[in-house]
Amino acid sequence: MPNPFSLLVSVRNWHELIFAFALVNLKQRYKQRYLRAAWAVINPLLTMAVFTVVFSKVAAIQSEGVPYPLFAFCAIVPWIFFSSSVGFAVSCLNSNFNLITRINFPKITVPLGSILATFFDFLISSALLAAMFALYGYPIGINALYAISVFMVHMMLTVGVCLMVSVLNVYFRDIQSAMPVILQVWMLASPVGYPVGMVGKGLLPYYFLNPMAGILDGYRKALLHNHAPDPLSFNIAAVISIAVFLLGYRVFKMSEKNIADIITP
Amino acid sequence: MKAVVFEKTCKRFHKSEYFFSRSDYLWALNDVSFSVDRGEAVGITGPNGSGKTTLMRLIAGITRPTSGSVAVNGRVVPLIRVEGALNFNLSARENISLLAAVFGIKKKAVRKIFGDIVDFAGIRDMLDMQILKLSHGMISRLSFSIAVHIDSDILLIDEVLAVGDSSFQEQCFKKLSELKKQGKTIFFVSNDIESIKKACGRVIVMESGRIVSDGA
Repeated sequence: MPNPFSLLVSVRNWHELIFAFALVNLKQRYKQRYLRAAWAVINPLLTMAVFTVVFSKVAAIQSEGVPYPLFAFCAIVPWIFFSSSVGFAVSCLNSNFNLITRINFPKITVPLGSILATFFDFLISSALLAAMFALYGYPIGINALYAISVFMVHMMLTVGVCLMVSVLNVYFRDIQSAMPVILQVWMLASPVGYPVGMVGKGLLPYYFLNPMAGILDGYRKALLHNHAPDPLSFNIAAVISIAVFLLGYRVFKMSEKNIADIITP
Repeated sequence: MKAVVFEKTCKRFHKSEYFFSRSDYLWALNDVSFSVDRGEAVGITGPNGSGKTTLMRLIAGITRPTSGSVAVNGRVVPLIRVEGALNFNLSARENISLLAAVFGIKKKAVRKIFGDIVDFAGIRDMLDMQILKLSHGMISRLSFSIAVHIDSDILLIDEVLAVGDSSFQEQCFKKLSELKKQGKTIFFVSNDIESIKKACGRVIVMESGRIVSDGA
């Protein structure tokens, strides 16, 4: 079992390479795109617009007494950080085939750099979320600080899933093909467009096995309702996220040595 | 002091593209043993598919032996088809920083060698162009230049010199003998016996994954 703190040591020793990979990813993403970083804003805004029409206007769901666009955006921003991190991470080792088969370096820097690039988009869209609060004149209370602990759990889950899918995709490219539909189902199984309150009581125990449920609801409790995250759902999310992180790191470390022999571009 | 020691080293690859399937193996290296002293320059030659590049990749730590052992003392900079390691969407400047970071060189140290890399490759006018717009020759010059300017104890050079023009080749051999004088261990893979003899005091000849001759 690799010591999870050894990850911090790798990050410290190789932070320049992680940043370099993040920079390359961003450049690649903005290549010949005139709107560049604006895409970090356009994607969540379009999602919010679609959700507002479908969930709020067509399905007429209640949004915990919060204006629906703000309610949705509070979960869309962290959801997109998670889903695009995973979406980019799944093929990140494969797209660095050229480096991996020619130079020996710690492979973990590749998915970490990919996550860091998406984190940059997350920062931009979080600023937009703050602007939305100002636009609606929506008050933010002291308990919004709980969002920090929610973020730590969110990050654990993201890193764990990204490490796992990136290295498994070297062995089974099926993961890459399955990922769009997995992320779509995962989003529908998480309270992104609708409130947790709408989920039937009988379903809830299973519903909260999805750590994104407790995480997204936690963000909403903290930011929209000036309230601590719901203890049950958030604790389940925290435990599962930490387990996923440890498992992801372990799987990555175990498989790392074979990557260069198996990887295809 | 030994720089590299191979002991009964074997390396096999799956023939199938699927990792989890019963498949035949290709034995790229079969019971290879040799050792190289620090400061030696060793040429490695042999027909295509004889295991030369696999040998280099084991020294570089890119891949691990299936059985037997590989011991390496010192920092290895591999130039194994390294022009392929460059990112064609990035400029020469960006490629230099990325590759240096991959080799674990800190930014401060990169700044010191940046000018030398650029001048040696002769690409000062094209620093900020995407390298996919550069010629094949210019790209190999860039990759060779990056690798030889990174501080290393062991340098692996694989067929890279075949591409440059004659003045660049001359420049490369000059650089190589300079590095040799600094006491670096150099492995030089080529099919061109003449250039190997020019650069190396010892030649290892390989055939189907085995060493068939080793000597001056």
